[in-house]
Amino acid sequence: METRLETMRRLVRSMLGLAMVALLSACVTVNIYFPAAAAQKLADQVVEQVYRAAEKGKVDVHEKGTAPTDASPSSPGARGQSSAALAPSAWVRPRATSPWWERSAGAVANTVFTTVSGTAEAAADLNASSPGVVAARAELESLAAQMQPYFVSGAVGYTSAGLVAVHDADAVSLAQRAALPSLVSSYNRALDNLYQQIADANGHPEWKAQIQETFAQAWIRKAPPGYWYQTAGGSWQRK
Amino acid sequence: MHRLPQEAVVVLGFGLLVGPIPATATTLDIHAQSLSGPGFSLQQPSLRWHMQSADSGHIELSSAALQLRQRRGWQRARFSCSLHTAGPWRCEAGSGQILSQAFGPLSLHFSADIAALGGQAKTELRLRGNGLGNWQGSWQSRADGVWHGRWRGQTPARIWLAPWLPAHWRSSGTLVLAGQAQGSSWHDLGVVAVEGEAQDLGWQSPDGLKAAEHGKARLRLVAVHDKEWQGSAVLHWQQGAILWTPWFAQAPKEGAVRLSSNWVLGSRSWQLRGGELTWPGLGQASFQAERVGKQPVHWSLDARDVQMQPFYAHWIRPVMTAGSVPARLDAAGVAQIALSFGPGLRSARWRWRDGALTDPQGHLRIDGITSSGHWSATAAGQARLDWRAGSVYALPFGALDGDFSLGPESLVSRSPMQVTMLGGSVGVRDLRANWHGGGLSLRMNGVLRDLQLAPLTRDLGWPPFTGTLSANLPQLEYAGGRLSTDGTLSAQVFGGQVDVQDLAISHFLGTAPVLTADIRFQNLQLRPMTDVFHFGYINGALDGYIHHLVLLDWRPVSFDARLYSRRQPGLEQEISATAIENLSRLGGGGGIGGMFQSLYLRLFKTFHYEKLGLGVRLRDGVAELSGVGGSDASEPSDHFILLQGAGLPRVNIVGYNRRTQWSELVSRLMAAIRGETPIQGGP
Repeated sequence: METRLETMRRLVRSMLGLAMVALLSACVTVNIYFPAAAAQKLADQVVEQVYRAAEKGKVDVHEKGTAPTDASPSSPGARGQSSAALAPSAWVRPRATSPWWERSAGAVANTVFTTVSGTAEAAADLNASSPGVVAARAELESLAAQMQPYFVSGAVGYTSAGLVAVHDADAVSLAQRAALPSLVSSYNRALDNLYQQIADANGHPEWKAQIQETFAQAWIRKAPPGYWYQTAGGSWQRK
Repeated sequence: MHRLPQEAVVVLGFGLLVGPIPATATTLDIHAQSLSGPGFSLQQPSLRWHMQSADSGHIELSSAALQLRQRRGWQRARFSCSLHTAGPWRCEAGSGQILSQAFGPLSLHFSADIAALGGQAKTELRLRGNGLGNWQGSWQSRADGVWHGRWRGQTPARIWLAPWLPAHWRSSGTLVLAGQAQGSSWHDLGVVAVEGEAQDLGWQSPDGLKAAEHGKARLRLVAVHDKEWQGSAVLHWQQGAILWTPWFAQAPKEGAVRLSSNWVLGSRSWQLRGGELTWPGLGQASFQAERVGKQPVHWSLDARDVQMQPFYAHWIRPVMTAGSVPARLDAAGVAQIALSFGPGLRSARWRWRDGALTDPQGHLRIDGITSSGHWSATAAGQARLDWRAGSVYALPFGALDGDFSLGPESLVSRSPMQVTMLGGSVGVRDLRANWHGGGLSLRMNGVLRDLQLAPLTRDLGWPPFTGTLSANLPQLEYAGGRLSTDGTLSAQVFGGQVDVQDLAISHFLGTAPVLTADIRFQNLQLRPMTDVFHFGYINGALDGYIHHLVLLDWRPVSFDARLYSRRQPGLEQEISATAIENLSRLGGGGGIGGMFQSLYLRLFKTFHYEKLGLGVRLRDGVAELSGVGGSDASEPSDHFILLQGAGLPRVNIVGYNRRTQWSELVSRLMAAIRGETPIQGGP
């Protein structure tokens, strides 16, 4: 009887052990979530810049060579340092501005925080400063300047998929209408390229659809009054 | 009324009713199920002749349906008039109604003189319809059956355009037409001449991408029937605009566009022969076209004295991808162009002289273009392309003399080509271009010979370099806007060598070109370099590299670079006080500030050094610096040594902040190179 009980105990212990191993195994699965908040912030910034460039009719490539501060990538060596911390002189020895214990405590706190929230931080940033992204944005802004009269007149509008479509060709003159299909096609290619470049720059090409979806909302949310957009149901509305 | 032709057939029933005949009037009613003859057919025709006296009466004709020649769509026709039979018969105060499927309800007013049945006849007609407009005309017939008619009228254009336009297209405008016609018998039409003018003519497809507006044009058409219809037509387009996406054309201000042609219309085919097109400001062309049965239309055009500026802007540029380089080029010169189509472009022949291509953004310019050749969709062709000079990104290049073989979708150079550039030359061998599905790809082998770097760096706004660039490019490829090489470009610079590998340029000639490359420096002599840059005297030699270089719009956005001294036997490693001061200024420290340091430097003109090294890692506008030890762990992390002195007196340059703004660093470097006071930065 005791042998049986012992055997049962062993069995239960083994089962519990296996369950723990299974549980621990499950815990090491790493999920990389799409950084929706960072994407939205980035989309808002890019969209604002494109609308501004379209209004000015001018593209300055190097104006956006630096990524938005909040969305800039952080290299391992630079993580935790903002651009405000950059020294004006490389040769001048920096002076400590706070007592040693305060700096030490800060360093410890920073280390602990970085260790604990390392994954979260990695997911909170989106790289928008890779040459591919900047070139894609420059290309888009160049076309946006050409598209501006079509948006203002209502000839074209943004779709719910983050692309553009002809809304009312009659809204512009025949001369302007001639270039419309080609412009819409090129603009959609540039938009598609931008979404893919952002996804690629962040090492997750599969994020393209989510980035596109985020941008789709931003194009409509940030659109100037009078712009037309297509709802998810397919109907057109004026901002 | 003319007598019925002998070959007319009355089908089915025939009824004759003589109604109640009062003492002074007689009514004759004739009804039939159908009546047909050459060129016409009537369903349920009826005739009522109400004879009021011996020489006058009232006549009514009606038919439920009417077919003239092959045209159906005429219904409920009813005509009546007062008939006077004293002397030549006259039909006065005639009126009628007919329902036309195409024109809607029509009303007709007419009067007619009839010499006698079988004799001469004359009719004056006025026709009015809601959709047909107002028409008036006359019709005369001789005893031998030959007739002649004239008409003049005004009608909404949509009535006439509707049969030619696809369903749901809108049209507007007015047509004013005048014409004459003649036939040998009443049902025969032998000659027609029409002069018409379209006023405020317009049409539009449902999507609005094919349209015309404010059109004004004159048409003169002559048609003669002899077994088949043939004739001539002349069209003058005077005002308005036509959109046929992607093309848009506006009537030129210099004068009307004139289009004329002879034509033949058979039962299963049609032809345009001897066509001539004169387009003021653009050029002239002859053309012909033919269609047999349901086969595609074959047409050809032979244009001469074509002005390339408007031709490229209005007819070539619209088919280019928006935003691409060809879509923004301006062309110049005069060309002869012969094209044949059917279906699609089948062949082309051209001769272009005094040509030029200019990019308004200034990225490309080619002058003195002469080109000729012929291309066929089914056979081999050839082409020549010469130009006098040009520039790309402000870099001037010289003349080209090119000879090519053409395939349906390819171009191959027949002999090596050479273009002078930057004091040297660029050679191109085995150039092969392919275009398929709208995409263009290009491959070639290239040779760069003795390109002078000084004008290159000056024109691109880069730091001034001297020396020459020579390279073999075994494979230079351009596809999808990306220019890439798989060879090594080698430049002889400052007594050393610079090798550039994996050079590629994306968005070439686009808004934001992206250049990527790996560069290696070997044995650069510092003395000639510092002589050129007015940086102060440094003697020694440098090795180094720039890995993963990325230039965006020709300005660096990321790279990993390192330059370090290379000790050579017999070569003193020396540095002047000025160079030390400039090196220290690079960091933004404002030079050697301390009194003791200044005095020390002034005491000695030159110093010996053991090592000199600088590493820069650029990311996101921030440069991370390292010194002689590189960025590895061997160098203390809180500072780095740029210059490690040797012997006595000894000077070391030590940096303490590894991170600095790239733009700031470049400003300081440029200021130091130019010998200017460095920009003071930072708080």
